[in-house]
Amino acid sequence: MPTESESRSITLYARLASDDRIASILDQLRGSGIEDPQISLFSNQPLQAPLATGSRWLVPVAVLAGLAGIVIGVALAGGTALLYPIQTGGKPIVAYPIVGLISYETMMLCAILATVAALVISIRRAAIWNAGIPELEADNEVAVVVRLSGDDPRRHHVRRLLQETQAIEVRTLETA
Amino acid sequence: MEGQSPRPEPARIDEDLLAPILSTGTGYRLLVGMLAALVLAGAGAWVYQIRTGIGQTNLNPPIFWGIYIATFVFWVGVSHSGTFISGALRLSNAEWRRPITRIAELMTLFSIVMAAISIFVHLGRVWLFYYMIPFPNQRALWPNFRSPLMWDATAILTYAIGSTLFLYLPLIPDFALARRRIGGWRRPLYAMLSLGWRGSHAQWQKLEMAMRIVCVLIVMVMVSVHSIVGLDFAVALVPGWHSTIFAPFFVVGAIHSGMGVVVVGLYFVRKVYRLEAYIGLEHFDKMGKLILVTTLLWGYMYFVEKLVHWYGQEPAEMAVMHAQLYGTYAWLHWSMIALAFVVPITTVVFPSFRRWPVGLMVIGLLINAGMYLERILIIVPSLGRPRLPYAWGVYVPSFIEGTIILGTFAFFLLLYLLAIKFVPLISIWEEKEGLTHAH
Repeated sequence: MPTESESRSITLYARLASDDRIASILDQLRGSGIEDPQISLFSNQPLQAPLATGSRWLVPVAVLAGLAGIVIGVALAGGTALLYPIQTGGKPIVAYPIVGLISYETMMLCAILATVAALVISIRRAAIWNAGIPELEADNEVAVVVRLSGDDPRRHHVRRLLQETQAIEVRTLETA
Repeated sequence: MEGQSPRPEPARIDEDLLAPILSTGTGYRLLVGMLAALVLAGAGAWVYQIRTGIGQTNLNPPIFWGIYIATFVFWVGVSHSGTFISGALRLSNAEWRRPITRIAELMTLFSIVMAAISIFVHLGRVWLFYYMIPFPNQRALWPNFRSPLMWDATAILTYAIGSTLFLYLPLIPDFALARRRIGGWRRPLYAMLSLGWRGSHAQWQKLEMAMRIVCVLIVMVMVSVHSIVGLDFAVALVPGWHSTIFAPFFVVGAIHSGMGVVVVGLYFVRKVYRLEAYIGLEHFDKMGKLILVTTLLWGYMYFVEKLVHWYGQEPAEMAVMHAQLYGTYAWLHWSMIALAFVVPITTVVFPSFRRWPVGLMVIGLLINAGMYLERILIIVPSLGRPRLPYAWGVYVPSFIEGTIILGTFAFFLLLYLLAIKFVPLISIWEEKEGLTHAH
C-alpha cells in the first residue's frame, strides 16, 4: 500500500517571461531523467517548442470517420433506391454515380464531424487535467509544468533547475 | 508591410481587435434597426406568401425557378469567400491571410444560411421540408436521390456544418482570451465556447492538426458544393443548361463573387473600426490580384460555354442565346458582362488601382451585382425559351418576391453586424502569431 505522500503527485509550475529559453529548459529536464509526457507547456500563442505531444492520431480518426461516412452515403443513396416502395419496371434503380456523389458528401461530413468531436473531447480532457494550473495573463509568458510523483527524489533538483531559469515565479502545486 | 501602419504590440492587438465587441455607437444601432426593419418586411412577405400560396410569386409556366433560386445560387457562390480565402490561403501558408480569414469565414457562414433560406422560401409548403429525409413512412414518399435537388440538400448540409466548424476551430483560443478580458453577459458564453481552453502545447498542436485536416476537407467540399449547384442545371435537358463546363464554371463564378464580397467586407471593417494597422494596402493589392485571376478565368469559361452553344447552332440553344445577346434579356446580359468582367479587368490590372481600397470595394460590389445578374440569366432565359416556341414566357419578380429577397440581403448584413459584437473580426492569436513570425 502506498503511503499518502506517495499516492499524491506534485506539480512544479514555473512562469517565464518569454519562450526564449524553452528549448534549453526542455533539454535540461530531459537530462535530469524527466520524460516528455511529464512535461507540459502553456502559452497564449502557439509555441515552436521541441516537445512532441501526439496530435497525429487525429488523422486516422478523420480517415476512419470518412470510411464510415462512405458506408452511410451508400446506405442513404443506394439503400433508399433499393428499398424504394414504388419500383420502376419491377426493379429498383440504383444509379451508381449518384451513390458516389452522395457518399462523397457524407464521407466529408463524417470526417469533419469526427475530427472536430475528437478535438473537442481532447480539449475538454486537457482542461480537466490542467484545472489547477494558473492561467497566464501576459501574451509572451510561458509556463513550464513538470508532474512528478510525491516521493520522486528528483523533485528538489527539478525545482532548483526551474528556479535557475530566471522564471518569474516557481510554485509547487499539490494535486491529489 | 507597405501601406500599413507599424505592426502593433501584442497588448495593443487585444485592445484594438476586441474594441469592436465592446464599443457600440449610434450609427451601429441605427443600422441594426434599419436592417431589422427590412428583415421584418421580408419575413412578413414570406408569411403572406405562405398564407396565401406560392401564387403570390410570378412563377408561372414555363418559368418555375425565378429569383429565389437565382438568389440561392448567388449566396452559395458568396459562401465560397471564406472557404476559398481561408482554406486555400491556410493550406498554402500565406502569411497575409491572417487579418482576412475570419472576416471571410463569417461571410461564408451567413451566406450559406441565406442560401438555405432562399430554398425554403422557394418551397411552397415549407413545413413539409422533412419529406427530403429518407425514412420509412406511411406516406410511401421517399426521397429520390437521383434528383439533383437531393444532391443539393446533402451538399449544402455538409457545407453548412463544415463551414460552421471551420469558423469555430480557430475561434477557440480567441474565445478563451475573450473569457479573460470581457465581462458581463458574454463571459459565460465565451467560457462555454472556449471549452476550457488552457493554451497547453498539446492543445495548440491538436488544434493545428485539426485545422489542417478540416481545411483540406472543407476546400474539397467547397468545390463539390458549387459543382453540384452547377449540376442542378447541367443534368437537365433544358436549352442553355446542358453543358459539361457548368460545374467548374459555377465554381469559378462562385470564387469570383466571393472575392468581391470579401473585398467589400475588408474595406468596411478596416474603415469603420480603424484597423489600418492590420488590414493594409498590401492586402487589397493581393486580393486585387486574385480578383484579376478569377475575372480572367470566369471570362474564359463564359466564352467557351457560349462558343460551344454557338458552334452547335442547335435551334433551341440559339433561341436562348439570342434572347440573352440581342433580345429581351440583352440589357441584363451586357450589364453583367460589363460589371463582372469588363470593369474589373480594366481596373484591377493596374497596381495603383489595387492599392486603392475604395476603388477595389466598388469593384467588389460591381462584381457581385454582375454575378447576381448572371444567376438570373442562367435561370430565366433558359426556362422562358423551352423547345416548343408556343410555350415561351417571360418572368419579372413580383413585389412579394422582391421584398423577401431584400429581406435576405438585409438579414445577411444584420447577422454580420450582430456577429461583430460577439466575435473578434480578426483572429487575435493568429495576428500575434504572425507578429512572431515577422520577427
